[in-house]
Amino acid sequence: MDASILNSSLYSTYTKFNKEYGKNNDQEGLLQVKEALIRYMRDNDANYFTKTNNARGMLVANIAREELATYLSEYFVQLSKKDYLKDFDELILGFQVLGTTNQLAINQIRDCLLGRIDSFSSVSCDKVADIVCDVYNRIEMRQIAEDEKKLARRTQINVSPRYGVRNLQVNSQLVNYCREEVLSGKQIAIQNDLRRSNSHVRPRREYNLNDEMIAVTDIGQKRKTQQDSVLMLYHPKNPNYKFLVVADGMGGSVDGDKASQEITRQMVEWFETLNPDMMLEVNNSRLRYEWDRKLNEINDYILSTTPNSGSTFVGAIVGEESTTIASIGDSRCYALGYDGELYQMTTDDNIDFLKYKAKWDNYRSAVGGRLSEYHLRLMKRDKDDLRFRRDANKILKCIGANTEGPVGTTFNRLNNSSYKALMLFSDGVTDCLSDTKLLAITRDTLSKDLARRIVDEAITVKSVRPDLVGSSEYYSEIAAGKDNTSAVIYNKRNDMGER
Amino acid sequence: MKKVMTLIDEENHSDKYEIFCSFDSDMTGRSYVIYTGYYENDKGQLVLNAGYYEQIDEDTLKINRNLTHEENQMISDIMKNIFEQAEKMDKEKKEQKKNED
Repeated sequence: MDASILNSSLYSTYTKFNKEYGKNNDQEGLLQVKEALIRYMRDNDANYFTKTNNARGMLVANIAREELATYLSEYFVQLSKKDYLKDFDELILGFQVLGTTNQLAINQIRDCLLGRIDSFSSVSCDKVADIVCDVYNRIEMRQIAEDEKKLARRTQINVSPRYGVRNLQVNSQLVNYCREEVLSGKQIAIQNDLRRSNSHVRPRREYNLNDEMIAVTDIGQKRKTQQDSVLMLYHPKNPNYKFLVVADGMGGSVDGDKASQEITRQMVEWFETLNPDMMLEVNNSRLRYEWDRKLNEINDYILSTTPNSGSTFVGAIVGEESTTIASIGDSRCYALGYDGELYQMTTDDNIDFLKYKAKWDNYRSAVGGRLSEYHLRLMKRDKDDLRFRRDANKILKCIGANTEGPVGTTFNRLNNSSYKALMLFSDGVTDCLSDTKLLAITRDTLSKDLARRIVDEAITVKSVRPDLVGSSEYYSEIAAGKDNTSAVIYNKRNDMGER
Repeated sequence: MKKVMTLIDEENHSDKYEIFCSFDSDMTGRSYVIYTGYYENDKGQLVLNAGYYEQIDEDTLKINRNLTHEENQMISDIMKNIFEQAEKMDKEKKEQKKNED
């Protein structure tokens, strides 16, 4: 039997029935493929294969049911001898296979798939069909998907230097270049090279995962090197779980870039090996505990290797029902609510911000929680003043920079249903753009362009407060692009699958 | 990008096509898409088309197939690379299977 014809028609069905093409969620596709195989073998019904791309026609014309059932049984029997089986049911069936001769096992599994007998040893035929097709799917369909990613990656490596190719997708399987560049150290190195060589290409990296998570990190206009790092990931076992990070290496510290790179690199490994059960609501305390522990481990590592380097950190983990946000320093996370307002979900670890927060929290308590329009405007003005403070960048907490003892991670949590987008920024954005300006840009821009537009505004538009001219405590101007500038944005889909 | 998108061409004709490959180029500052409507030429070969695009929404691209000579060369190089890499990967897989058996 020609396996390439089988795989081609199966893969066509697999990609059609995934919820969103290009999204890293293969459950719908795998279920459909399994059902298609079982129905074809059991009932001679090929209608479960997709009509698109002639998958149905290819299968029926080229592969007889008996041939297919024999092939899949041989496949399973071979795998059971090679230790490829994973879960409990597969192992039980594999054990039964090992207890008999190969040919007998193949014949009996084949007969189960064709509905000729009721069971194979102690396993019912329905279960046999389920397991055998699941195993085939898992290995072959996912292998094809992996191959596509590898193909795009290898092609891009070859063609990128000559044509500056980015975001190469082959058959809509997208490589996570943000992840790749964090692990290889290229994210910062590429930008520094571009700045050093005075290239006409902007010293910036942009990443896009299915228009769902988008990150832009730019050196800015004034700095010689990039010390920000950004990260966005899907959990490898469940793409509904996501991870976003911004780490801002401290410019005043030596090797700030080393600290932010180390943080993002270790966060990749930590998140991808997290048990997906940690994303369940019942385990939220445990998640925070593990996350804080990991950040402290990274702090210890930095202390022992590059003790003078330091970085802020802000991260968001989108779990099953809620999103957990962790922060150290003055990088921020905002949530865009369904009311169209932006809410800062983190507290800057900076004396002036803490005073501002305490003042307005106290006032709000004193007036029973509701501020008048006048006081809301005053509060916004107070907050905007913070950007212009002369010592605005002095933070009380960070990772590294000789921080002994606990780093003091601050956590916050919000229900997934309460926001439509999450935005993480380094202070290169929030020093240059007021909350009012951020909101205006958000309202005016398509979600897939938002990260880029925010970074573009921050590096091109200066802020001016003529009322602060002559003040000893405040600057009256903030230069455009005065710092490294980074934004990572997560855009949720609504129930219709739209953003 | 989705696997099947609606493409609107320079003459405002729109139809659904399957996207084979897409990429951005820093060299030209444009984004490109290579796609197929599953038509075959006289030799029975699948016809692929290419153009630069502007994304209108999640399902729709406005494309322009008027490419410069340099752009055509770039796309041709990229396609060649994709097939070369695919062949290499095939060989590697066969070697690996041989060693396992």
